[in-house]
Amino acid sequence: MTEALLSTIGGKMTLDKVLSTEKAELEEAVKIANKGTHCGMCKVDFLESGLCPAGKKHGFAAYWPEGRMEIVKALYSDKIKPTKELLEIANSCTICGICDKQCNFITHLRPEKVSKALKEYVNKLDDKDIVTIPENQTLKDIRSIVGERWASNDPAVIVSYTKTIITEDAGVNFYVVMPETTEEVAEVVKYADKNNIPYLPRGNGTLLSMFIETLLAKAVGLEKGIIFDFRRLRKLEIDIDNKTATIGVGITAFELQKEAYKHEMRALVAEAEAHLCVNIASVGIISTWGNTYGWGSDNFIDATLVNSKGNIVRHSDEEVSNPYSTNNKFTNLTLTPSKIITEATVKLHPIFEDEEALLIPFEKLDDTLDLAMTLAKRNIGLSLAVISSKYLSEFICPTNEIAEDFDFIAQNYLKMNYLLDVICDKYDKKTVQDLADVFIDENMMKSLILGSPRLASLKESEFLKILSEEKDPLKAIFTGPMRKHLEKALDPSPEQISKVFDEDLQDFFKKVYSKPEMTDVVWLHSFRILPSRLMRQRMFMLRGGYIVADKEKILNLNKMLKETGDKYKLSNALGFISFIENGKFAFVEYDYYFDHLDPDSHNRLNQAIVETLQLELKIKGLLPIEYVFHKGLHRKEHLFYPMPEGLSDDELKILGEMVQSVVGG
Amino acid sequence: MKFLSEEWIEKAKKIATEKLDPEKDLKKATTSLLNIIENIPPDGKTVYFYLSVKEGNLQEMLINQSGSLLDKNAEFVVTGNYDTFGQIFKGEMSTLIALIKNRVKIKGDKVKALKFVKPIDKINDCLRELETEF
Repeated sequence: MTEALLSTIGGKMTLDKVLSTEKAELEEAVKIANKGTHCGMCKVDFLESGLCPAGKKHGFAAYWPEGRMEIVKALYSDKIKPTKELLEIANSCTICGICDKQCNFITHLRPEKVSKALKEYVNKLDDKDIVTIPENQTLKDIRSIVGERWASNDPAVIVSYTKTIITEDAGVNFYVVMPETTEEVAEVVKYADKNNIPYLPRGNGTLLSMFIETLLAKAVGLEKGIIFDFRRLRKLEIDIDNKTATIGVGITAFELQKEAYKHEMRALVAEAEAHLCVNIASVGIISTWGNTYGWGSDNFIDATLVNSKGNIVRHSDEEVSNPYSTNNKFTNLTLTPSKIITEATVKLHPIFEDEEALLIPFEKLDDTLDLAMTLAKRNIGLSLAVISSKYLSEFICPTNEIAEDFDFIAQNYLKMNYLLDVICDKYDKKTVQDLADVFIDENMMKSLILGSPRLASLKESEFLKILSEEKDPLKAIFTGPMRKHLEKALDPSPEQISKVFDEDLQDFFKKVYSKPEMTDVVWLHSFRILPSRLMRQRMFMLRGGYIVADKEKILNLNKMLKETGDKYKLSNALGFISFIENGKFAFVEYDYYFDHLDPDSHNRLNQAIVETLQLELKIKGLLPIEYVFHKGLHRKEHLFYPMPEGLSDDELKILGEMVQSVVGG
Repeated sequence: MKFLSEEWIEKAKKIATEKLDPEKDLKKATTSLLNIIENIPPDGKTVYFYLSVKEGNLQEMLINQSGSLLDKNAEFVVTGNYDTFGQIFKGEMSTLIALIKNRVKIKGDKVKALKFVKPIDKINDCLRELETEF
């Protein structure tokens, strides 16, 4: 703040008041930042727009768009004071606009405004406003392991991990470390163990961001100590002869898939932004491709881990005691990992030239499951899943509003409540077509993707009302003469869909949607760039888990989860149902959507979590998702055989006490 | 008074016997527990802290560094570092959260152990009344 400016405001205003005035200018940025949900897609070059140059260079979350959002919030609420590193963070942003392109595609937000506001704010500060953060002994020691640049206790760096590993009320009593090798990870763990410092590893933080919004926050987050950010462990080697890839824990699912595709192979991966090693270890990779590729432990060949004493352990070590054994009892609830995974070698699978996507629409879940289970038991479909119209709408529509209207039309006019989503080769395709009355082929899917804004705008149209009065609207629209009319009405084109984006981004999105992969359903299933849209300016919490693939059991679980969601006034819908083990087990994801900025919404969500967990644990043959956490490295044979019996009243009482303890911290 | 010192143990035994109700607080529990507390500053030594209750009455509260308390064959053995036990004793973290967060490892029947979580938390609540230096 200059003398001249101070004099213009009377010269009597104290420095604090001046800062407050400047902070008020952050208000707009805070509004945007509050809507951020930390999907982590800004760290993945999924649109070929390039990556945030500052984030790429400096690594810490603080230098990425999602980190800046947390910094702005922390400054605004006085959680942190400006530091020298904050200046560097703010000024490292080149206002290149990459983050706007990426974030707008997923969340429809404009994070560049946040970065600009932060930059303007810090550049108005005087040197004397800047707090110096001393390097204490712990930081010195950690830096001696990883290098000065790669460890920090600066509050601006620390707060950028809020909501993805630390809770909002946790303060800034942390260190962040970015090791480059397994050996460095091991040394830091040894140091932490010797000095009684808690620590927690973090991948891209997406899963944690979901759980930290719930009553499980204290059980999954870190209250103090060392945060491991693994972005620097970036080994990615493809072994063409053995059809495997060896990846460091910093490699995202998207990066591996991109590399595998270059060699005409595919990896079983999680969402694009997930650090694949972390995802294998945390939930074992839940995917529609599980029908053919299985789950996490079916797909990794070797894993390198650092145990709690800082020893490096490899699954291939001859001396290692059975690393695959675990149990599925309700007492075996682990919400933080016992070991840190730093590297894995994973299988790659062949890609066939004749792969094609078919979506078979249904009105009833019952009928969808009949066909799904018939196919799953016969291993038909490389990727096979039941998805809800809500899931489809959220994925393919570029905004929440369009998704809502699209879903309304799907359910009310088209009677398309569920879809069986199959990726098949030409042999499977014949079978699926023989068994299905109606199907949506790839051309129609392309029309629905590019024409989703237009379809959503037809909510009040006579055309759709007339269609809904047909005896079988699905047949009429997708196989009959009305298909032509629908395709014409949708006017599907990159130009058309790009119009829903801000004017200055329309040219960019026209180019994006002109790329074949953006409407290639097989590619979208492989690279999984769309699921983050579920976190578009609001959050969701998944319920469900692995269940014996029995139709009645699945229907009852779906009903219970819907009723509980409705009871707590949460927007809710089935996400998807996928299959593993020759159709023996199904994974059911049911989603509760909530406003992460509304305390009442949080409260209702938390009550629903507790109630559904208690009800789920009563069901024989169901392993709730919470009980899969951090068991992904174990063999599914240990985890799923036998499936739980369902808790006794005595056990449920103990569970109730457990839940109370978790909620109470 | 230093946490886990001989003096602390003596006072802890006294206060627990005086203040804890065998029925209300300790649920007439009969069990034994060995806490193995690792990395105690400044030299990183390990301390073994054993306690047993019978019908809700505190029987033994013993501490040593030799490991001989392992011979007591406690029903449950809980292992963790000094900071974690400190957080539990200070009431900053519940025993169960420590377990779920992998901060402590437990050996023994987990279902049974969970039944004793509340009585153990009661003991910790009671011991918190001691002026303890960590």
